[in-house]
Amino acid sequence: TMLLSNRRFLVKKIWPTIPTPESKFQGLFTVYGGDFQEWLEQTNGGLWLTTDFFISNEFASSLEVLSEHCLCPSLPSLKEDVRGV
Amino acid sequence: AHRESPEARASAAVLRIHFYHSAQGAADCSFLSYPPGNYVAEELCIDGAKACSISPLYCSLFGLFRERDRLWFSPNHNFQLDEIASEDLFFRIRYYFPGWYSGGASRAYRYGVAKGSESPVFDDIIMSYLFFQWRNDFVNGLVKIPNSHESQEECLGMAVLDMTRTAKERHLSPLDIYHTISYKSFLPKDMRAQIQDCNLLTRKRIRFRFKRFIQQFSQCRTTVRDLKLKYLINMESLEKAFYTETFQVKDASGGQLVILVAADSGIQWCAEKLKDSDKELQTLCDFPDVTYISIKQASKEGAAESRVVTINKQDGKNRELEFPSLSEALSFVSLVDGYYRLTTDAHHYLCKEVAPPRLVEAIISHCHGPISMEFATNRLQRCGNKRGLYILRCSPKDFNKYFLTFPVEVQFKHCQITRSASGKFNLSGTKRNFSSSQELLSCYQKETVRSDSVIFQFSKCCPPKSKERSCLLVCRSNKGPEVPLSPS
Repeated sequence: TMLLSNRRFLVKKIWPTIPTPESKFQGLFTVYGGDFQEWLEQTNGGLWLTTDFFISNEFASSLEVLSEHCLCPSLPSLKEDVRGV
Repeated sequence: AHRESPEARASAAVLRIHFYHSAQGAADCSFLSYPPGNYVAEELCIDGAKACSISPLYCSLFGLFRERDRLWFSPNHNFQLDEIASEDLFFRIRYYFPGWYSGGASRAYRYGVAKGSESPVFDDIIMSYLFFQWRNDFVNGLVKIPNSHESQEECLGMAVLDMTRTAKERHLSPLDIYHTISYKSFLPKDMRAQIQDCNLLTRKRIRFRFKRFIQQFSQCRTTVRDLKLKYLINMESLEKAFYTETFQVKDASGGQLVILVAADSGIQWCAEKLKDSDKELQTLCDFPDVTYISIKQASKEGAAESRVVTINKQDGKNRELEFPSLSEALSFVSLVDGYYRLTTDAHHYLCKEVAPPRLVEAIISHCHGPISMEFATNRLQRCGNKRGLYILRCSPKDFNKYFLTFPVEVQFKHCQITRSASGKFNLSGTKRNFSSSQELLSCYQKETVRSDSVIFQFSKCCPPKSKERSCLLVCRSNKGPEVPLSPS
């Protein structure tokens, strides 16, 4: 047994278990035939199909102020322009 | 869409805003640069968002980060930079919601106008930005990855995803990339060193197995988007330090504490010595439980720099935490404040010392954030579409545009207000400029206006309601589905 454990030690030294990437892709080829998206969705319990949030195009309506020429007198500027460019 | 402001090139740039996607050596411009002057963090973030085509809805997820001392700046931070100053900042996603990609029961989402119209927390642009941000943290060892066989395999798997993504983006095969860039450069710094320490035979075996799998993986049908998405999903489960901020503080009795802040768990703490063991974590409070936060100077001798942050809670109790410096205190408070706005009330701040200037402005003028048109019209409908009622809101697309939305019989109209670079407000179709939107409104409220032959007045503002649910708010993945699952 001494010899055996020595051999095991040697094997471990020369031929240790190495990390490999494939264990993190189980089923990708065997179950899903290499369809990554399908595999991703199934193994994560469903995903948003697209994360693009639809923002409707808004068209600004035209506007006129009927009495633009006789508006209230210009208000004093309350705030200094601190923003710059 | 990345550009340098033209005036910045002329004089010496003292402030640079860096982006993560350019760390990859992407062409023309990798940062925005600014000449000496005063700059507010929030406005710099808006410049960053514009440069990265990020829309206003998602801008609240970002902050400015200084890598040198790992410090985040609050949105109202004023950078005062003279000719000899030099400041390098990263435009960085600060607020993260685990499970944002999920369509299942434990998903995070933005509220919709109705059940079934929820929207994702991030869009594809944000996802891609986050990918480069986290990739940077991962590869450069800014976040430590546990050193187990399991996580080593995870890292190798992520290197496969990353190498395939690189190949697809350059229209090459993954094997071409494998032959030109060492696979180790896709791994965290520490793991590279570990592999380097193995004997020649072991190194060769790891490389061989990696190559064999890359070859097999290249047969896979996939897209750059899905590769990035999977990379992020792995990262989230690998290490929560990617989206958890920690602070070293003292409690009222002088004991050393570590404070952890993350979207799902709120504010947690543990005694310093026990920070590695999860079970010792105790909840201080969740974001919705905070009523307000104050910062004051610690009045202890020899600690002039330190600040006491008082978190006032809904149960009437409060909690005092002593931070070693003002900048750390502000960083913490702005983090909690930002999460509060994303989870609880989009139009409120917890502490005036960190309040975003544009939010303060919006509160004064009763302006809604960049809610969608659907939210605005829905809200007016719920108010009975009364004549004269209007909503003022930020444009969901442009940082310097606003809309006045009002009902006209059965329809809605959206009049545009623009804010010029110098901060002047103008209602499209009118001639006058105002220095704030509330001045503009108080003037035109007295006026009769006409739009496409309809005559009306803006008489009554429909302000944002406290804690109102809209697309500005995120329902977190661990808060349970209050709304039934997404439609088919």
